[in-house]
Amino acid sequence: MPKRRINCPQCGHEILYDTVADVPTFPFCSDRCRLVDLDKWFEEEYRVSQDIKDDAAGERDVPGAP
Amino acid sequence: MTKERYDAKTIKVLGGIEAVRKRPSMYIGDTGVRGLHHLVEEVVDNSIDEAMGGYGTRIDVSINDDGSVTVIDEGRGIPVDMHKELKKPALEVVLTTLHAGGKFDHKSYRVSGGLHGVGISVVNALSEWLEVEVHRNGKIYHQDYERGACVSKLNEVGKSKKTGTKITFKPDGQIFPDGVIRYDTLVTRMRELAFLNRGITVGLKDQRDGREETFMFSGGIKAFVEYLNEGKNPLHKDIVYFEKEADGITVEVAMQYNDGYADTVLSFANNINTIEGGTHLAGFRSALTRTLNNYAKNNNLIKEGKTPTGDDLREGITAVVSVKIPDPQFEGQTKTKLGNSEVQGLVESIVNEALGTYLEEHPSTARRITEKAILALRAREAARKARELTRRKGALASGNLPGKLADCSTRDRESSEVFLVEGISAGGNAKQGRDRRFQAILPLKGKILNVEKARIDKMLNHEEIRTIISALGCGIGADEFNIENLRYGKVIIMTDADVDGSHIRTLLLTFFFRHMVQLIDAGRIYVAQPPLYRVKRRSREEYVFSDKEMDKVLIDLGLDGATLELNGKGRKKKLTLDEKALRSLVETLVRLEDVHRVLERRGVPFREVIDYYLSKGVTARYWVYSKGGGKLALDEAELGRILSKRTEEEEEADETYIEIHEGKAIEKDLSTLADAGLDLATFFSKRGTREKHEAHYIIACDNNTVELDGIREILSGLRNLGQKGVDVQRYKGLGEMNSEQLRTTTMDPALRTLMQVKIEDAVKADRMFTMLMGDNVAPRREFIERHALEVRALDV
Repeated sequence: MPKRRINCPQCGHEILYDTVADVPTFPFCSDRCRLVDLDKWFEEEYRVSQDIKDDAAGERDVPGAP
Repeated sequence: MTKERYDAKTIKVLGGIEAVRKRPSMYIGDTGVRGLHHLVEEVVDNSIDEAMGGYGTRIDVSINDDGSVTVIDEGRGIPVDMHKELKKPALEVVLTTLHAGGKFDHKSYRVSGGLHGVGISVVNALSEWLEVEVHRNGKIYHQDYERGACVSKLNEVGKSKKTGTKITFKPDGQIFPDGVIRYDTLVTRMRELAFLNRGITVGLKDQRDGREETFMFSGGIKAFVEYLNEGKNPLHKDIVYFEKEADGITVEVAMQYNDGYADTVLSFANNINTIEGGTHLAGFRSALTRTLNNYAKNNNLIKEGKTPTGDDLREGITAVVSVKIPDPQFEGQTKTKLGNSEVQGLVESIVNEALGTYLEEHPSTARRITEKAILALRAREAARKARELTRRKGALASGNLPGKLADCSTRDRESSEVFLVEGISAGGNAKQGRDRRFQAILPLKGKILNVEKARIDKMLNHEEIRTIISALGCGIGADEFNIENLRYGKVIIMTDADVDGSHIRTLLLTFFFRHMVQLIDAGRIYVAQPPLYRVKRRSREEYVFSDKEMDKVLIDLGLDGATLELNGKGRKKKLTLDEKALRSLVETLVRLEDVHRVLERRGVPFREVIDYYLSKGVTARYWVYSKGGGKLALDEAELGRILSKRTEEEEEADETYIEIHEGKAIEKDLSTLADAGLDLATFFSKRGTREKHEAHYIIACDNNTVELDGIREILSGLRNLGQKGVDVQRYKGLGEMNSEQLRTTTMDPALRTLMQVKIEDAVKADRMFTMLMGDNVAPRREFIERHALEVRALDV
């Protein structure tokens, strides 16, 4: 039984693995999910958001910030 | 044998039979396994036609010990009365005359299957022997044939109350080199016939080994789809089914999507499996595509220019299309392609209407089907783009590197590295600061979008993604990715040390993790560690890489030559700690400062914790919340007492008490301070409790002194002292450093530190990305606040 688990970033399906090489489509469950995700990068759908007023959350992002 | 057989008419008939025996392939396709089993199907088809006409509900097929096959039905029985023109019993005409039978005027059978009307005479012609038994008119009739020729008279052999036909035949070994009838081949077709002809029972028995199955499906082709989808995960529970008749043509469709990628669309015309498709299948396909796309468009489920194709829409579909038509025309190599042109438009309009209605009535199913097709479309698009990117690179291996890339001169992969640098000015600095022999620079511009003036979105635009893929050279996607083609030994992400930089870094790491994970696995991806501060004192210059380190540096500078004195006024004992003694306490003080912060965040006033210790000599183990404050409890017993006295209102509060795990550590640290001679009563300031304030401690260093209100201020005092005469510069971005600084702090392999990205780091980056992604800001903020500590640990 593989020790580590990760959820497919696309469909959420759980994947068990020991090493990355165990799953040919890692970290996705299938080639389909991988391609759909890739298309989202190509289509500029992936973005990280930061609230303009939400400085507190942002500042925590600085390494070692108190 | 009777002489009557040899009259002129009989010879003409035999001529037809001989033609069949001479060129059997013309009639049954071939004389292999397929043709052989066609014989059985032909006989069964006749029985099916009877049953579909309303005569009988059961058909039994058995493979006998001697290799012959018996087919029994409950139909009307083949007529035995004399044929007026041929002056023979009709049964004999049917069995010995090509294109004979009741199927040609649509009176006896409105529609029929079978081998396109060549009829049972072909089976007879290709059988070593054939026996027929007809129950009709209250009697049983029997007749024998050999190789298509009649070898007995039509005899009455008994009485019967039922009707039906029983045909037993043995395929002729002279015609079929491999004349063995296979159960497994027949069973598929028998099941199929039972599906296609709702309510009819089809039994199959193999006398040679006792295998036996009986099929009856009241659900018809709906049950067929259910059967085909067995073991798969359907996308919607109910099977879409409709049946309509127009212009004498019956169209029946059943379909259900599963979550797989294959499409299984079976089409039938008059029970014949039209393997090559034809007009009915074409009509179904175009209606499916049009109806689903119309629905998706009308309900805003698809974007402009992103219309799924028929292939996309058929992904995961299981469907059975069955038409029954009076005059089927079959074309193609195996005569299994329906050619009737009028069928296409008819099927199309019936499916358009019925499926359209179904989708309107089942919006969630419609949405699921459409969404699946859109995923299929996206996957196809992505594969195409990945292919284009990789091929384009391959075609112009050396010349087609992105224009923005400042490549290095070496061709030795292992010694070369590429910096992915965020920001144009930083990119310029990096270009000047690099060693061009082995260091390449790829400047990236994270696209920043201001969304509704409420938040800022950062993303990598698709041009940047393409640029990265091209520069790395290793391709992307299942078929195109090849780590051997990676152009550099190290891929180094170098971003600003601010929030924007960390977001871009998170984006890049997530992208590499998801689509080039092999690079991470092979230890090829690194994160540069640019300094956060430059600290300059007199001629000494130092770079500091984290806030924690910065704190240490300041305290360290403050300690330099410092002494701590207890304020002498009104005290008997004078205490002075020199630099060495003070230095030995710093670790303890830092720890207490951390505990202080942690407890205050949990709502526990640290001052009360200290006071409790001072009065009782031990630390309390619990903090019990109450309205507007709380109370410390020494142990479980005291906790219990306090809890039992709470008011109703307090009992309803979410949080009632917490355990202070840090108690023992606090005690130890406090006693370390006491051992050094510090008066613990002066831990906190007593400011405001005295008429005239006096500082408890003074830190002195050279000519500087800092007055302190209590032990807890020693560290901040040291930091203050440390800052004097020191020039601290905070680097918000790489662009604030000049190229030389960037080289010596971050890029030069001899001077820099790099963080090698491990899979675990990338997993964290992906989690961080997922968290920062989404449009729903409130839950995200809540998540970040709740996991504040974790988030800090996540940052890589």
